[in-house]
Amino acid sequence: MRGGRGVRIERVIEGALAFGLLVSSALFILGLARGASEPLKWGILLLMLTPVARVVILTVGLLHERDFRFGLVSLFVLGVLLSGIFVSGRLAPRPASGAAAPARTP
Amino acid sequence: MTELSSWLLIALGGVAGLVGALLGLGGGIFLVPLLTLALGVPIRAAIAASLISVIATASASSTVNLDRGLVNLRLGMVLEVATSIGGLAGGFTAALLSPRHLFLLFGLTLAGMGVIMARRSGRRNVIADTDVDPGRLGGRILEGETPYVYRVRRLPLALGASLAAGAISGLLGLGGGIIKVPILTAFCGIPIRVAAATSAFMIGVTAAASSFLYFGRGDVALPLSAAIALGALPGSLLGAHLSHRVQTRSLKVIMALVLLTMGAQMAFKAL
Repeated sequence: MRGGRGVRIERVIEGALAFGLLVSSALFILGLARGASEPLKWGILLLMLTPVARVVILTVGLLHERDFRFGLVSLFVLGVLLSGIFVSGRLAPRPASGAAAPARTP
Repeated sequence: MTELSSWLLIALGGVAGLVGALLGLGGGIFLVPLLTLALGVPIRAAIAASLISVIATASASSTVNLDRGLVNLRLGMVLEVATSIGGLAGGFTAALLSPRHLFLLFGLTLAGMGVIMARRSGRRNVIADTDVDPGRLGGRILEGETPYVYRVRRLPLALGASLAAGAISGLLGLGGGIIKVPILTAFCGIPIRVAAATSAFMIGVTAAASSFLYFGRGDVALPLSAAIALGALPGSLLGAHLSHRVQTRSLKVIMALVLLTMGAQMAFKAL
């Protein structure tokens, strides 16, 4: 598929995925090496947002190509994803039931 | 988490990413049983870690598959409508089920897919006549130097499988590829390499839809999930690069056996 300026949508998505993966890997390495949870949290959030970013890019690309049928399909998927994010922000954390316990040392 | 277990988890993520990317799966199918059965991780934390790793595997292998033109973006997007709704529904339902029920469901899913994989025929879905119109959702691929056309058949079945895949993904921490790839290939006319690449592309979105719910509920164990995802990244890049060279038929037989064994173990644990 081609964007309006002759840029393939595949290339833009590839770039966005690679960027998300590189930055979150760097945050994981930093967090694990220092035993700090903040970089891990942000790394995981960024990783979770990477697929959202690629749906945004595909939606914009398809609408830009005037492919409205698939653009709307893509917009719908984005809506479902965003509603998941919206709801998750309102969920009460589960009472401690060992869910966040670290792995047992082998 | 000790240094030893960090390295072990990174290695575990690497293997799951490698095998997952090879077969168009997320690798959660191996991770959840290994984390719960071998390492004693609580099942919800294992599912959350698996979802994060599935996102990493999907994104990394897609960078390779997009470059090769194997991903059918339009088909993926249409099927994602069903998987993302299923994923969200599964993510909600997971909170209502007991760990015992989750184990049982996981075990039965693994065993069922093992049976389908073992019985799958080696039928070909490509059409050699390149003048055939692939339709809006079909496409063209190159096998070696030869161009082929494929058409998508039984779209409602593909959508139904995607909905089920999404729900199972949210419930069990899988990508859902283990359901989509066999059905798309066996019944919907999609060549295995396109089905695997498109599935790998989709599962990141499927897993993301439910991962936010796990994150919001505080089920994501940060060091555990980060270590596995860190291993899954290079593993899945390697898997996506190797996918051309490996005999997928022999891999599928091994996979079927692994699925049946792990499924039986998980179901047994629930009883």
